[in-house]
Amino acid sequence: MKLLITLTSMIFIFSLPLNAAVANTKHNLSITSTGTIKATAETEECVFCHIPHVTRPAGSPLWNRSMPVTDYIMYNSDYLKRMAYPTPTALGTQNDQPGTISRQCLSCHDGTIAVGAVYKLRQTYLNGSAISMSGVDIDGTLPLGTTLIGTDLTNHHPVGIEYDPNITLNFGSGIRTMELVAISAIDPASKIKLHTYSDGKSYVECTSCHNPHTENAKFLHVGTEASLGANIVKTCTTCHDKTGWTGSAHQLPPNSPSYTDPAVLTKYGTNKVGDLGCINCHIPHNNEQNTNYLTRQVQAQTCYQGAASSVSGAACHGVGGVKDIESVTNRNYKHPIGMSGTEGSGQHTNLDVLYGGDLTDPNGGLGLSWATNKHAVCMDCHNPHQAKPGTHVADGSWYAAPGTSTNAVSNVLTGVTGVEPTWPASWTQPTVFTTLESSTKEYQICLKCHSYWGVGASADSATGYVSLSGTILTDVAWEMNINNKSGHPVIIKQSLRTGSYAPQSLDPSQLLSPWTENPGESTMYCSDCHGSDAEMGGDAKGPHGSDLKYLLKGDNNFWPTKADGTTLFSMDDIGNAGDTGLFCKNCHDPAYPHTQWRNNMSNRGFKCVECHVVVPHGSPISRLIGYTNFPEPYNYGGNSLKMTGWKKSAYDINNLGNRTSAYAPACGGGGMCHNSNVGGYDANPYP
Amino acid sequence: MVGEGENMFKKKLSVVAALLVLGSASAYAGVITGSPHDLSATTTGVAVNGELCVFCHTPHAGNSAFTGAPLWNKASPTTDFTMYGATSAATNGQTIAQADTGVSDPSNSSLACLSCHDGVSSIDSIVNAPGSGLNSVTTVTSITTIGVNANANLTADLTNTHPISVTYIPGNASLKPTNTVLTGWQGAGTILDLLRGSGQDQVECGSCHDPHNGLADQATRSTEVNFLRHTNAGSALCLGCHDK
Repeated sequence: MKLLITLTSMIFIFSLPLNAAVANTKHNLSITSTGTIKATAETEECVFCHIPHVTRPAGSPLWNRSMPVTDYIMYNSDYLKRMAYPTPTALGTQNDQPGTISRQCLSCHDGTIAVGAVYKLRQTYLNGSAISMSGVDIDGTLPLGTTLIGTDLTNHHPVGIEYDPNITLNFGSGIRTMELVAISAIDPASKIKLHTYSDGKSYVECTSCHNPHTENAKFLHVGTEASLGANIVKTCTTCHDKTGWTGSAHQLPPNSPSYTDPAVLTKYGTNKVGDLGCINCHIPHNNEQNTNYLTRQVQAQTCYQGAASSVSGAACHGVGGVKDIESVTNRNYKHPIGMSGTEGSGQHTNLDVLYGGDLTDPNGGLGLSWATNKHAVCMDCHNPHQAKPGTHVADGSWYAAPGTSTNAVSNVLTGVTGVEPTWPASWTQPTVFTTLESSTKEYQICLKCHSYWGVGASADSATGYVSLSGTILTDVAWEMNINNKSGHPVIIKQSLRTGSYAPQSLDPSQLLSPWTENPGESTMYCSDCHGSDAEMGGDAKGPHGSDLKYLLKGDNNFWPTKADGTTLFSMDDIGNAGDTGLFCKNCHDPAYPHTQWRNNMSNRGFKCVECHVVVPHGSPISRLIGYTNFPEPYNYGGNSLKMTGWKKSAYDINNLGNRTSAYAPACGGGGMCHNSNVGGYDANPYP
Repeated sequence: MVGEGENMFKKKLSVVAALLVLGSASAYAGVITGSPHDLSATTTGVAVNGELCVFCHTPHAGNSAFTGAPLWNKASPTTDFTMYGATSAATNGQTIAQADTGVSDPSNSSLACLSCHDGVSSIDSIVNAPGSGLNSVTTVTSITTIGVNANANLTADLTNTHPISVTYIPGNASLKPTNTVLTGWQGAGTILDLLRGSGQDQVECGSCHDPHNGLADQATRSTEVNFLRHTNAGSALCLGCHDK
């Protein structure tokens, strides 16, 4: 019996070579095919592409099909142009020209040539007739479907394109590479293949990723992974080495989320976000949305929906997703994600950070300037290939843990481009910026837009733009200038504020936790004041959107008016029940220990904005004081400010200093309190 | 019971053996008589005594300088060929993987075929004509060269024909191991049997073709190609070597 089994198995082995791979694929176009597109009688498989003798002059090897004469619309992008990366020209029509190989594939897949239209069938030249096929269009061409590439190649991964990992782009600081694996380092086991022509350069063609003869799904070279999705990802990552991808939130998402849309599992053999990597967001072919960078959906919608057919089936950033941003951005006040009118044409374009201020893209692309391209989408602030989970905020807090606050980018903001201003004289507009390939400080991301780089030149810090909160947007870089006399320590710690004089920092007793430790030596984040209204209640952190004006976050959310939007906070409110919601109170203790000061000032009805500038980012006067002739929006209603002179003095709990520190004749007191001009006040930038 | 079992085993074994024999019996065997290589039947010129073999072979006084085929009855070919993957004549060929094949001319066994199929050399020019008359290069028929547009005219440009005089390297072009068993092939039981040259590792015309294995009714057939070692129905010939 053993012999019988051996013989039987030998026969089986002998018959193995006949089970050639292509026979079992859709590229077996003969009558024996199990696919829907097949010959009505022809049994030969190879002949649909190859013939051993007297082959076509263009195409290889041993090519037997006419080459399409199509003028394809080739892939292009702002990114390629800005990187000065050679964009694909027309696909070649002769051997040894880039793109010829891809044109061979397109001789079926562009839909212009009948599938059965081969040159020669055995000893017969077909002379324009074709092998009779079933499953094709009436003209014999490929029917509509995912395999029909068509003649517009703009929504497909580029082919006939050079592969050059050495191209780089210098930012003002930092260098952007193409994030491509060196040719010599491409894993040979992947079978991913570059094509070299007589120009000595390497090119990507259809056959770089696909092997038309393999049984692997989608004819991918890579078939070693556990699912089609993982095979596609390995195909991508064999060449694309995105900086910071390994270990990022999208490569290794926390808690291993899965799509609930059953179509994802059906299509890719896995529904785990972590398995789907690149193809959560990108699709290499037939992107029906025709978006930039082969993203699945128009900009933010890609982040909301991922690979699912709708947001509801996704485990992404849409409503119901694992980190729901969409809900937050649907609130009254927000960064206008999803609001931009012409997103489909790509309001945000990769590297647009290079074209802020007065600079325009010589390639004709859209830059950052609000005058021509006001927008804010996910990619403006996040790098989805590098973002990692987590922010600087401590558990159970709105802020960093005591004594740890910095302004360094948090994990979710890893690898985002930014700008760093060159700081001009106090209370003037910074107009010189260094572009950053990768921001190290959070504010460098915000200032891409909230400065001259986005809003352009303005006569004073107030720009020509009105925010969703109904106030004039200001140039925050102008306000945060380290040469200004005062400001929140977002850019630089107070001890290094070049514009200020002693005492540079507040006394710890004037502050609340977690700010009481070494206040002069700490910095803070834009996102310590601005965020979603319920960051402590489950909202995604960060200034995406809020129902509170100016995206003010924290236990107290109102400034300079109370929740009713009209009543200004006043001295009466400090320490009383009436101060409910005073935003400043999140960090500052206005009541303690200035008991003497508070007693003097209480019940006088003075409004906060009679002394302090309305926009508390910074001021040319110490301690965020403003003078009477300051313009709106710093001067509430244009006339709230009362002082015309102020100089700060050292904090002393027992000594309030001289009332002549402030000169405020506008109070109309006629000799009261601050009616003596003793000089030496902080200079007024407004003449 | 034991004996019965043995008998049954023997019966089954004989069935298997019969199947194997049946397999080899279906070898793709053909003839030369009446095939396109039967030049006697296609000529109306001077008498050749109905001889078939004479257009290639002669029992005596052959061209012993040419070793491409036995008892060669034609002059040594002189055509300059452009090899597969080569940019011009007299330069080395290249594989699809752009590897230099190391040769700029077909080897002799293929040159034998090309001494007609280059479309240039005279078919009817032989060394030793039928009958007496040794060592006289003679025109024996009115056939000169293969028609310019004939399928069989490969021309001297071999860039558009399957590579020949190229080393068979398993793995390249999805080629199978040389010990792969071939079933039903004319003159070959394994791929190794198809290979030529001193190292028995070269692909030549004869790897796919057997010039004596023709079909007498070729003119009436549209689904077969002449002189193949195996039918190419289902592309079986191609897939014999290429594991695509």
